Amino acid sequence: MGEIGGTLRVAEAERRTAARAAPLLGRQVRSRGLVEDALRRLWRNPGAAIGVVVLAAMVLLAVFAPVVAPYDPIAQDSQAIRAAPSLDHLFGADAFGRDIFSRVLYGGRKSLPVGLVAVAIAAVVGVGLGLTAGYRGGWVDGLIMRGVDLMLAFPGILLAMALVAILGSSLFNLMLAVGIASIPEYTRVVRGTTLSVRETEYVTAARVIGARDPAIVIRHILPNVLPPIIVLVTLGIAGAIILGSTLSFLGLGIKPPEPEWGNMLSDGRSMMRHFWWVSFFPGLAIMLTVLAINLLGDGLRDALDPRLRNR
Amino acid sequence: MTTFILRRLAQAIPVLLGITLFTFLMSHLVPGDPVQIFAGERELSPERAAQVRRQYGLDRPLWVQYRDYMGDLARGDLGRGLHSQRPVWETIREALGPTIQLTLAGLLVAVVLGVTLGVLAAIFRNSWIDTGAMVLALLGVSMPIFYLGLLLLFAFSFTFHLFPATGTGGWRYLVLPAVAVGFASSAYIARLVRSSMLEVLGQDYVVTARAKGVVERLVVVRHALKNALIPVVTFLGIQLAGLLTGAVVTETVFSRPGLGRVAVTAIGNRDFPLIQGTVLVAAVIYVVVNLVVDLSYAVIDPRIRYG
Repeated sequence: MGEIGGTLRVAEAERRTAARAAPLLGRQVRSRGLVEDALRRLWRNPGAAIGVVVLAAMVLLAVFAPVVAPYDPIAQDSQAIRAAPSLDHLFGADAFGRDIFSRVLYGGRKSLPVGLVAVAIAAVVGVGLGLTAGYRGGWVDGLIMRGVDLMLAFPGILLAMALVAILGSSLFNLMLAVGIASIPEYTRVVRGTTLSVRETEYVTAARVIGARDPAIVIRHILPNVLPPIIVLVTLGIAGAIILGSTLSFLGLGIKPPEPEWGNMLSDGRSMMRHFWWVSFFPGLAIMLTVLAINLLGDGLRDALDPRLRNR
Repeated sequence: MTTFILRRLAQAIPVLLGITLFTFLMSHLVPGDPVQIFAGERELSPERAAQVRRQYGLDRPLWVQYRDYMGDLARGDLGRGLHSQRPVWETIREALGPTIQLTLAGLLVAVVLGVTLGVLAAIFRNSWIDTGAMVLALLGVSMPIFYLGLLLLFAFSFTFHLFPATGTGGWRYLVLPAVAVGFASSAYIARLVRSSMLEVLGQDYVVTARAKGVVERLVVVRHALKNALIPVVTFLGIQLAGLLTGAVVTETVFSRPGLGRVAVTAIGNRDFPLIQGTVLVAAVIYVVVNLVVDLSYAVIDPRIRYG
C-alpha cells in the first residue's frame, strides 16, 4: 500500500500529538465492560467525584436560576447601590444596585452554554476533519493538516478575537469564535489515533470483507478515537468557558446589562479597591466551574487509561 | 542538523504565507461591503463609496489587492489606522515593547515557580509538599488570568500597598502583572517537571551517581534536573501562546499599554487596518518563537535530529 514511508513521515510529524495522547492510543474498546469499569473507577476517584458534584450544582443553579434567584438580575435598586454582602444581598450589589447573587446565577445561563456549544462545534468539526485526514491520507490529509497548522499559528485568543472582529459580537458569534479557535486540537489528536488504527488487522479485515469506508470509519475507527476525545472535550469545555468569559471581560463578547460572568468581572474592575464583591463572586463562579471540570477531566483520563487498570 | 533546520525553516514559509492571506482576507470576510468598513459606520453616498473604493483599491480583483498587500508588507507598510490615521506599524511598534517585556517577565515567573514547585514535589513525593504543590498547580490551571490579576491587585496593591496598581515604570509595576501572566504556565510546568523528574530519578545514571557518593543536592541539580528539563524546553514554546494570551488580557486588568490593548481597542472601533496589523504581527511573532524553540530543542537534545 506504499504506507511505510508515509507512516514514518507521519510518525515524525505527529510526535507532539502522540506525546499528549499516547496514554490513550491504540487501545480497544471492550464494549460494555469498559464503560462500567470506567464509571466505577471515576466515582472512586475523590477529585472526580467532587468535580461531578460541584459541576452538577452549578448547572442546576443556572438552569433553575429563575426559581432560585431572589431578585431580577437586571432590575436596578437605588437603595442598594454597591451594597456589601448581607442577608438581603448574599453577594452584595453592583453599581446599579443589581443583586450580584442573582446575576451570578443568571450569568451561568450564558457562560456555561458558551463552553458547551463552542466545544460541540469544535469537537464535531475537529473530529470529522481528523477522521478524514487520517483515513484518507494523501493530498486530503496534506490540505487539512496545513489548515490546522495555519490555525495553530495563531494563539487561541487572537484567533477568537479576530473572528469576533469579523463576525461582530453576539452570543452565537462568541460560541462560534471560541469553537472555531478550538478545532485544531481535536483534529490533531483524532488524526493521530486514526492513523494508527487504520493499520490494524481488524480494519484490514473489514475492508477485505467489503465494508464501505464510511462504515469502517464509523464502526471501527470512531470508537477508538472516542476515549481521548472524551477527555479532550471535558477539558475543552473548561478552556472554552475561560476563553468565552475572557472575551466578554475584554468587552468583545456578551455585553452588559445582560449578566455574564466575564462582563460582570469587568464591571467591578474599576471599583475593586472598595467594592471587591462586585468582581469577586462572578470570578469565583468561573473558577469553581473550571476547577470542577478539570477535576472531572483528570479523573476521566485516569479512568479511561487502561495502563492504570491494575493499579 | 543542517537538514533538520532547513526543513523546519521550509515548513514555516507556507504558514507565514497563510497568515498573510488570512489577515488580508479578514476585511473581506466581514458580512457586507468592505467599503463600509473603511469608510466607518456613517451613511455613504454612492459617490463617496466609489471614492473610498478607489482609495483603498477595493475596485480591483482580489488577487491584485493581495499582491499589493504583500508588496506593502515587504516595505513594512501596514497601512494607516482608520481611527487615528497613524501608520499601523508605528502604533504596533510602540505597543510591542511593553508586551514583550511582560511576556518575558511572565516566562521568568513561570519557569522559576514551576521548576521549583515541580522539583520539590518530585523530591518529597507523596508528602504534604507534593500535595500542596499539585493543589496549587490545579488552581493555577483553573484560574482565569483576569481573575487572578484582580485578586493580586486587591491583595498586594489595595490592601497591603506593596506594589503599584496600574501603569508602567520600574520593575515594581511589572511584578503583579508578571505573576498574573506566569502563574498558569507555572502550574503546567510544575506538573511536567514533577513527572519528568520522577522518571529521571529512577534512571541508572542517577542510581550510579548516588552509589558513588555524590551529594544529594548535586544528584538532583546536575544529574536529574538537567535531563528532566528537556521536555520543559519544548513545552515553553507551547506555553508561549498562553503567556502571550495572558499578556493581552493582563494589560487590560492592569491598564498597561501593549499589543493586547491595541487589539481590543481596534476591535471595539472596528479599525480593520489596525486589527489586521496586530493579528499579523502577533501571529508572525508566535510562529517565529515556535520555530526558534523547535530549533533550540534540536540543539539541546541530539536524539531529535534522528527521530
